[in-house]
Amino acid sequence: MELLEENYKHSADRLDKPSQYLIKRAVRRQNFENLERSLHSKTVYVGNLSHFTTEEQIHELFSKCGPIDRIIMGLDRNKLTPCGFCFVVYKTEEGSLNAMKFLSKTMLDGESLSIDLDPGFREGRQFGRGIYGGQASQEASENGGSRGGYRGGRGGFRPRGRGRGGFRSRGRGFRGGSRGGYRGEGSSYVPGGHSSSYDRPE
Amino acid sequence: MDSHPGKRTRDEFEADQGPPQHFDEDSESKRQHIDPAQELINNVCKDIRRLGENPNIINQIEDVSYISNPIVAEFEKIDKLRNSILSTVYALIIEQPQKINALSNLVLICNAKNFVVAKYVVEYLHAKAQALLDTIRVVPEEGAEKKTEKKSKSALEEDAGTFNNLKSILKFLATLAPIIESYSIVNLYKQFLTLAIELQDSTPEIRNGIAQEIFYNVLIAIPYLLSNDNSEELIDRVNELVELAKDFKVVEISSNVLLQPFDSKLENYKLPYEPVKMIDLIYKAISDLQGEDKKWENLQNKLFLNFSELVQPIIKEALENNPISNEVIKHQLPQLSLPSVEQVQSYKPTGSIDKLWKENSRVLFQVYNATEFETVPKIDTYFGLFFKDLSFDILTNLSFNKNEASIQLSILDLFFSKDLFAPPGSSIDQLSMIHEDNKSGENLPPLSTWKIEDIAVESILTMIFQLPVTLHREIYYYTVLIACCKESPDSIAPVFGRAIRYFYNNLETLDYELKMRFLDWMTTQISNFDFSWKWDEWVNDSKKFKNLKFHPKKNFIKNLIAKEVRLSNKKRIGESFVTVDPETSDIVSLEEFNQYLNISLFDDEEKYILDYDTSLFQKEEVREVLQKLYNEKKDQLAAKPAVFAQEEIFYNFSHPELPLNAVSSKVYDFVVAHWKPNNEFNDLCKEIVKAAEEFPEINAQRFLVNIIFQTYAYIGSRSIYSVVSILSRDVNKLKYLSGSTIEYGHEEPKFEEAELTPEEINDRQNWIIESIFRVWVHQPQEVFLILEYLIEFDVLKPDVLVKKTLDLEHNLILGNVSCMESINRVLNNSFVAEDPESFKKLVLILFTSITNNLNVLSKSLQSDSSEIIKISQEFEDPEDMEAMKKVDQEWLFFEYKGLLKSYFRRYVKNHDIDYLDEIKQLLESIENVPAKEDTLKWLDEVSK
Repeated sequence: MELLEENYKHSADRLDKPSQYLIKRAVRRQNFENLERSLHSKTVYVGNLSHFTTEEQIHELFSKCGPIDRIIMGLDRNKLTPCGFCFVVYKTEEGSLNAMKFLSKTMLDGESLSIDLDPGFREGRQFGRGIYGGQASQEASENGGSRGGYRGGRGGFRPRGRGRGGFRSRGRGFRGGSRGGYRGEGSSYVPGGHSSSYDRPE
Repeated sequence: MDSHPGKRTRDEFEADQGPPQHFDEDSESKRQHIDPAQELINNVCKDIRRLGENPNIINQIEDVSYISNPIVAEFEKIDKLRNSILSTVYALIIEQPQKINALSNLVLICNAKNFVVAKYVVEYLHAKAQALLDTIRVVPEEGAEKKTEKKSKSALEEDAGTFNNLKSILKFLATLAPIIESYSIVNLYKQFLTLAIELQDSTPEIRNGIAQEIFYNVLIAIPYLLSNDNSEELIDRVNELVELAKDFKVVEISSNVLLQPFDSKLENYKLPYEPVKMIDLIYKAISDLQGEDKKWENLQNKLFLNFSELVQPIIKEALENNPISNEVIKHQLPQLSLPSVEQVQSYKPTGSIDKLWKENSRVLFQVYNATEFETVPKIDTYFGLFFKDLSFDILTNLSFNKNEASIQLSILDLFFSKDLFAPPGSSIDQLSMIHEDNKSGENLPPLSTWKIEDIAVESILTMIFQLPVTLHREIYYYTVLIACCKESPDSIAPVFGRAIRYFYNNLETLDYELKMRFLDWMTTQISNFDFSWKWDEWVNDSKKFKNLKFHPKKNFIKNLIAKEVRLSNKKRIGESFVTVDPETSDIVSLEEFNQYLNISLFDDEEKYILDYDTSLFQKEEVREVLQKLYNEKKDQLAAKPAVFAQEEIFYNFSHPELPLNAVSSKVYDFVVAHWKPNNEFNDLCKEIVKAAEEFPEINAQRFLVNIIFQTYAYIGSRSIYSVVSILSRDVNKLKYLSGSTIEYGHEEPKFEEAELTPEEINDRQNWIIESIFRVWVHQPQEVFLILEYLIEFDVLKPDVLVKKTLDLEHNLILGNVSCMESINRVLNNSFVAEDPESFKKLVLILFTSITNNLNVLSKSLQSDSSEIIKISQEFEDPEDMEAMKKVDQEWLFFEYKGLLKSYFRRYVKNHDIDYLDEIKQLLESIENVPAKEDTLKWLDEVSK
């Protein structure tokens, strides 16, 4: 599949590509139509929203990437209340690509947003697909034991997820014969608090 | 020599980035299918992308030598490997030019092991350069030109531009000087320099922006020629180049008020610094670097890392083992075929930096020049220009990956001489200790006080505050800054703190449009960090300016908080107004700022609502009822723990104690139901008018517009898209009311033709605006979003809204940031729409209204129009309302002037318009003479 292949046109990854989630799903189903469509989509999926974040707040942030056509809030299938995701439909493709490039991991209401290209909104997709009506991934993490309950209420602040060991050793890919295993663990960089660090140093 | 003490590696910046996307072992099951050749390609290209990032230089060179082995072995055998390497090399040069020197080590080493690799690289880049030049030669077809123009209006170009990218290719080829036959790279420099000189000479009186760009680029790239080779022959040839550069004539208009980030407000204030243009600095900077003896001693080993001690032994050994040649093989670098002067003159750049040069003098922006010692290299030195140049290129060409851009800017020091910067993360206190020790002679030689964070942040801020427009969307730069800050909050946050203070302290002179960008940046920035700010610093200003509305500092604080509320909510923002009591270390809240949580469109919301509603009914008895209802509503809301904006709407038309409540209920039922045909709507309107006419004092049409539009807004108040969906459902009905032309759908029943005079239409349009103001008075962003949609649906004319927001009673466009942003969107939508006549009309209305306002204000402020309007800066009594009113008017005058300048710069300066004369006449109509003369100077800066 051509669009999955790295072409080395750039010196770093483009952030406006479909996520591994979409790619894996396409590979698994051997159906690349949605993936293809998402590359030219005017819609982005926005996840990890707080349940209290309003359409207006989303509009305020996402309109910085381009004029918005509409926002579709993800709703709990049973309660019809926001359940942590939404679709932002831009007026142009440029808008959705910009949102991918610029807004991923931006904080809104204390939550770090996850954004993905979307093949396009269809009626029905605004409802959570979880067993309890909410978003499946969130229900899973909330009920999954150890990670449950970290999600604060309105304005709840979730500590940033550092220390995943995303350490990438560098420059030595050919050494030591065995390929692939050059991603070490550890050495994650956990900076201290930042909340009042604007202090004038002079 | 071996390592940068205390420098961070990229990994430290990357801990939070998560796994890289495509080198990822995205699925272990897939791994086994990976073709070994592909895996080799992935590994090699990945390593090339990260060249130079190792702070330990010995290891770095060892790595490079190691990487070179598979390259020289497989380069000729695997086509895909070769192609991938070549395109990675090119991408690295263009997108991450700070790695040029590290990349050249790889090519030099490869050349010694297998010269074919270097030959390919040189030829590939030569071909790339030629291809770039060939794009200029192509004369676009008539139709094609229109297309690109449209694109450049709406979409921002990702690429920096042909000539800017050629600069980076030149830099790289220059580092290969030791392996290029008879230093012919110098000839390429000479070709470009000659082109620049001829280009400017072809229009001796008029600034040629592209000529300036080429000239600047060649000069900024000159030192690279000496980075790997400093033979006398090469130095002589470089000196010849510098000599030739003398022939370039800098043609500039005398002043550049339009592009300056600060405005003295007709000498009312001193500028924070005298702005300088890049083109005026470069030649002097290069000739200083060259030195009087022309030996370039200020450059040698002072800027580029000296790799030769490490690279040369590797090259020597490789040559000894090289079966083909034991000598360094040198490569041909033929001259490029340059476009003619005429062709370059008709070149219409789409790339952002080229375009910027072509249309505008490049004025430099400075933030960190306030300390006693330098935290960034002096702007007029080569080093100062050099790091700006690199940072701009990285920021412009890496916009597809903000995280990478932020990492590269944060570790920029790694790629250059190790003594150039103080250790990363040094605080101002530490730097000032270094500075003291430098002065006392304790540090011999003196140590650097340059701070890499300051360079990085200043470069990003320069891009945010770029005039006339930013090269990418502002949000990109904001998020690069946020990424920098997330990576190392402790060392970056104080750098931001200093920048924010600097802009805040200079708000009186900061350009009007830049104030908007400052607001926008600061809101986005602090929203990512819990909205924390040292609010205590602004308490005194807030008190001092409490009875002023338009003082820039007061206006800034108010609108900053309003924007924060829009991104969050009042409760949370209110909780951020805290400070630490220095004695008890307790957290204390700062009550001073709570007043700004009321973001209402008008000052006294209650009075406004009661006045407005009473005026609809034109009956004083109604006020009592309304007051009672209002108080009830307030009590009800006060009892609730959390209030949604929707619940705060005060909508009472169907209340039984109010006149016309019966017919009002019908309106509610009509709108809330599913779509109904036009004739039913028509009947409803007739019924309302008829009912209203029974009260002779009521303006029936005004009442009709209000009941209908307020009801739509009220019913749709759950969210902006609810209101949009019911408005869009009934566009033609609303158009019928607003007096707009209706386009009927197939078999849609038509309304009776209403013969409205232009005045009647104008009245109705104004009433529509007022009715939306009224419903959402407590949430201005809702007001303007709805109005924008009404404009989009052609229910409302944009010029009516523009005029309304410029009325001198409320000055909404200056006082309310939601309004300002909305009007900018309205103007921009009209600008990009394919309707130049409508846009022209809108711009002229805008300019007329602003100049009228200036004249009304100056008349009330002065009797002698030849005098400069003075801004009162010291006022004894903040309670003296008369005096405060005058100060507000002074500020209004200058803020309207600043607004006019912003619009002139945005919509007139760089556009080929046929109404420049009309604009000129409007500027000439300004009665205050000094202001008029100042604005007329803008016309000199219109790009030709």
